Amino acid sequence: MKNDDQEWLDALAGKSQDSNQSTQQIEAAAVRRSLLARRESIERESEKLDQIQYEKMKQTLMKHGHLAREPGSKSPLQRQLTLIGSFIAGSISSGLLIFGLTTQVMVTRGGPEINIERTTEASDKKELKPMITLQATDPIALAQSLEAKAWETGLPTEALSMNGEVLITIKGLSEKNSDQAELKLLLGIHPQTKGDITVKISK
Amino acid sequence: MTDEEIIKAICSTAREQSKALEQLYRYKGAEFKRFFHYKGIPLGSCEDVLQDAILKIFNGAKDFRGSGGFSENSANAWMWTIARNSMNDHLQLRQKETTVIGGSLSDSDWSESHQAELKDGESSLIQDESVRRAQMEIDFCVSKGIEDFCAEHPDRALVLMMQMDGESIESIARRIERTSAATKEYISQCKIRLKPFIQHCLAFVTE
Repeated sequence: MKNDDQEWLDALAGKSQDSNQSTQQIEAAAVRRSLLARRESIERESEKLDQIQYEKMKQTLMKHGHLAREPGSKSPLQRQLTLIGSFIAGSISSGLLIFGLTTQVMVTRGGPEINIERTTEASDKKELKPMITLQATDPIALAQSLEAKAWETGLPTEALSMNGEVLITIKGLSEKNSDQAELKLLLGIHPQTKGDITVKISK
Repeated sequence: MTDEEIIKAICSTAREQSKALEQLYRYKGAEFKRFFHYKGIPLGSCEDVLQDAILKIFNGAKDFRGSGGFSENSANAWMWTIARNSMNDHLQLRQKETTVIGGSLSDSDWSESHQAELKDGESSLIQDESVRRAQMEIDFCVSKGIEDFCAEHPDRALVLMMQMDGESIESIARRIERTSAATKEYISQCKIRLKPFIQHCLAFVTE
């Protein structure tokens, strides 16, 4: 390393205290001040986390299938929901999962209520089977409301979101035979079509 | 979490992915946004560019074949390349819309906020007003060069910061996984690489 290099590096490290600084030292001292100011500014900035933007980022990554939802975690979107999915809430409010109810999904979103009739009854079959087709003006909001409602039950619940689909599994007791049962909701979300949501239920 | 660990975590479990995202968003994000703003992107749009960059990082992580650090294909350099490309895409789009992009610093907010940062720094210790003003001019010029340098040579900027913090050659050598002799040479090269970014500021020194 040359002498002027060393002089420059010493000044960068804040070791040069000469009153008659060389051009090299002045330059290095300016670099030092700039790097320090930059680092302090970035550190200050990184301490502040814009939670709304951060959650938006997470949702974007999930939507593109790049970020899986952590088991047991509660989706931030769920916390924002004021929607009611009464076909889950009604059936498990007593701590039981009840399959095969004729029920209704009622969505309220700060505006007029949208009532969606469930069209098919669930069965006791174990495999995933298409059971319910829901029509909604806002399929994503509806999917989120159902997912949120699952969380609110307090029952062991897992939610997995991937590639535009949300799979919710709720564990509880079957009303018919008091056996352990699982309610699986697979919500296919197709925002580009703004069309149907298919909900599949298995036991 | 190092930059290479962030990329590995992106390709790992949900929990690891979340950790990686927070690290990336919080720390790299702050650096990226600062650079975008310096390059003339309004603060409100910096977040959009950052989100685009992070999406591309997550998208490309599985294909990353680079190394840990302090080489031309390091994880840090790779992420910065993506950030710069996202920014350029944004600027090109904006150029089509407005046809008024004059390079960097089209937005004066950055200049104002950065001058305030410099005033709060070591320059504030100088009592003589004219000397302090001259130093501020040099600092401001150099700081612009530093922003570009950090974006184009992020690993070299890190090494200069290690030197700035007074780390020994041996310590830096361990961190960048080189011999002491090679580290000295690397630091010397960092200085040479930095030169074109700040050389014009020396005019303020001679004045």
